[in-house]
Amino acid sequence: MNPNEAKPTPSPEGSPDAPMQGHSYDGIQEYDNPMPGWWVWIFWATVLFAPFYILGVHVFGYIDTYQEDLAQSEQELAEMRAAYAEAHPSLQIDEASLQKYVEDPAMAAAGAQLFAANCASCHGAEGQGLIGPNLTDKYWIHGNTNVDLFNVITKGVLEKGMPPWESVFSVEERAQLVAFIRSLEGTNPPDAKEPQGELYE
Amino acid sequence: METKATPSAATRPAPSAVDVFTYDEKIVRMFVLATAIWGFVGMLVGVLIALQLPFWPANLGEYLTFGRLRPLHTNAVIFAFAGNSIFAAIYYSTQRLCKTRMFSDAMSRIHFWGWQAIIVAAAITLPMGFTTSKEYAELEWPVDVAIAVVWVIFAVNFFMTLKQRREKHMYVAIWFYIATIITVAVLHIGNSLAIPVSLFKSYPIYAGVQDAMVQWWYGHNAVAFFLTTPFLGLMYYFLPKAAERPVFSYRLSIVHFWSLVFIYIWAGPHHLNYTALPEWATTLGMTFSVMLWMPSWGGMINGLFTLRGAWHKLRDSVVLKMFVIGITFYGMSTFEGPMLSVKSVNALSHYTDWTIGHVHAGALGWNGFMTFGMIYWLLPRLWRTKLWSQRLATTHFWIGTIGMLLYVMAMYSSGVTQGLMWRAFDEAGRLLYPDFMETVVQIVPMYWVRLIGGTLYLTGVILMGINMYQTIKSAPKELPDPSFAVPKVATA
Ligand code: HEC
Ligand code: HEM
Ligand code: HEM
Repeated sequence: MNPNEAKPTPSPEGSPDAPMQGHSYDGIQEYDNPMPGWWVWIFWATVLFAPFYILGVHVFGYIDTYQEDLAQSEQELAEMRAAYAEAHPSLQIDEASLQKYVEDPAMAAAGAQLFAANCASCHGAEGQGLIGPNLTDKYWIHGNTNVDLFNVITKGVLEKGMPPWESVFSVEERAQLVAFIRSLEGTNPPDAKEPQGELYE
Repeated sequence: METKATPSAATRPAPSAVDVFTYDEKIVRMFVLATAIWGFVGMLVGVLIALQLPFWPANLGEYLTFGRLRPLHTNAVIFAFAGNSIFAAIYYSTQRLCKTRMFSDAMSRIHFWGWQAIIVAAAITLPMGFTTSKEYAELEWPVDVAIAVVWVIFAVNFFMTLKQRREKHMYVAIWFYIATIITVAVLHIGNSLAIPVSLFKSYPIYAGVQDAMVQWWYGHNAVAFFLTTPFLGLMYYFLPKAAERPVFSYRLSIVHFWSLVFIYIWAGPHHLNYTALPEWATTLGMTFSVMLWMPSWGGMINGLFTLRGAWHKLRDSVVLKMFVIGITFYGMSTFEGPMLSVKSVNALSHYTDWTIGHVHAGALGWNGFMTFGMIYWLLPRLWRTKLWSQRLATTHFWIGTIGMLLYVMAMYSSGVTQGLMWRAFDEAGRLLYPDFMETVVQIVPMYWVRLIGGTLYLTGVILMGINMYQTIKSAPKELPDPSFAVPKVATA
């Protein structure tokens, strides 16, 4: 033991602790203070929390699993959407109602903005086609009625890389996009992608 | 200055019964210098990638883009900066705690140069794009093999040193070193098992979600056994030394040591919440993470309470100041970690900058400041002179603290902003921010704040470099290894 350290320094809390006998390593000594009570108790609490939580999720079900959580959130969302739709009756989608959009240049212009920001990356700035097909020609993979276009935009073709836009754009906005795409027909932009799908005259 | 272990004349035993030995201090000096140099490099790259995020033109050419430099940053700061720092701590303190020189000087040198060569290999291959794409284990198989070999040499050298020790018991710092050395070997080898297809390409032997699980078992325990346990060992040696106070509680050190090493190993799945990993595994990871809170705080308590009755020393000691901030940040990030692992919190924080904030609270606060404190304590002792400028060191302390606070505050704020924006719905039940870009644009100001914080922190490191350079310049030409004499005892 280092003789300089023999005189115990009383700690402020008054514990009589002299450093432990025989514990001196390169001059470092150790007290043997008890572990703080709160430390011990919180540790035990977290240890008890583990079986409580594990049993809750995986055995007795008093805590939701991921799947239950997800289902619940989806249901809440569905309710929210239904309530909104009821309060804000939107456009009835059929060929005729969409045709009104197609014939309104203001709607096509609004659609153009949405297209530039969200679709041009795949379909080209002028709809000439890049990753996605050319939207200016007479060839269509998924049909060429207004409702066909509306449906592709709404549901997407995920396995081919076309995202669904249902949860992103309102019904009106999707109708504006249809209007804009219709306005592209026959524009013959340069570097157009080769035709895909069936020819519709 | 350190008290020399040479016994006073009165107690000096007869010459024949005296055991004379020296400590290898040169190897510690080498590791200290490497720590500072790589710390500077790694954090310079950190500042560069922090700039690249808000300012894309800073992505230069093919080799200096964010994607290539990010792993360079993480490898450099973790394995080069923190790595060399813990080696310095281990080589310095183990010799003294065991009252013996390292087992083999040659092995110490191979460890040092081997490790530096590995870092250089990382610094070349990562920007070139060679990567296994496993985070913190990006290096390709030839480098992985080299790491394993060098680590085993280090381990043999270390354990043989323990074997020839002149001290009966092993001090707690040594326990933490043992845990580090064994576990890192197991983790590194376990996670890096791969089948090479060419010199620079290999495929892991695990596939799919198993690969992910092994990767984060490794990744989490890299945090545990590379950034936590060796630094706790460092703390247990250098803090009572600098404070000249006995350690608060031996009992606590036993309990928190064993609970920490036992529980850490299970917590990895909290990195894979809400992924393809089966939910029971993430449940396990989460509950073990919550249990990890107090074992971690045991270290903090033993650190801070050791300063009881010595707080007044903080005013004059930049070393203690650094240690106190370091330990405080350790406490903060080990409270934050268990909280982030709770699934509902992770649902908000995962994939956001909150994680980055958490990482750097631990890295800058705990690993950085403990390292700086140790370096300032070692400098005058290893080079047998005075620290060139106490003022400059204090400036480093303040500038580093401010930089770090700016860094983590910016990341918390941007992380929470991102998390909330991603999950926001409007009253029609549609995503409020369907376009990812909107959430990016929103956090760009926080990126700039982080850049300022990081630059301040790096400036602190540069100040430390200047101080080191000047201190070392004033060192005596000859720095012979200190020699010690103890009464002969039968060693194991
Ligand atoms: C990530 C790339 C991508 C984006 C973004 C994208 N699309 Fe598509 N789109 C595709 C692909 C790929 C297809 C082809 C799908 C197929 O082969 O069945 C497609 C098909 C379509 C079709 C059907 C074409 C046909 O020939 O039947 C329409 C209409 C369409 N997209 C409109 C849009 C609109 C409007 C937007 C923006 C709101 C958009 N797309 C955004 C990739 C994309
Ligand atoms: C000047 C100081 C530093 C700056 C400016 C800095 C900056 C950065 C940046 C910009 C990233 C990428 C974040 C992202 O992808 O969004 C990052 C990641 C990281 N940094 Fe640092 N860093 C610094 C110091 C350190 C230190 C000292 C350490 C460790 C000891 C560290 C460890 C890490 C780790 C582990 C990651 C990856 C985090 C993750 O994937 O979640 N950094 N850093
Ligand atoms: C009780 C202790 C700790 C626990 C339970 C814990 C828990 C966590 C959790 C839950 C995450 C987020 C995972 C995600 O959402 O992706 C995380 C990330 C991280 N933590 Fe901790 N943490 C602890 C302490 C620390 C400390 C002290 C450090 C550093 C010194 C650290 C470094 C990291 C790093 C580097 C990551 C990022 C990993 C990545 O690249 O994604 N952690 N931690």
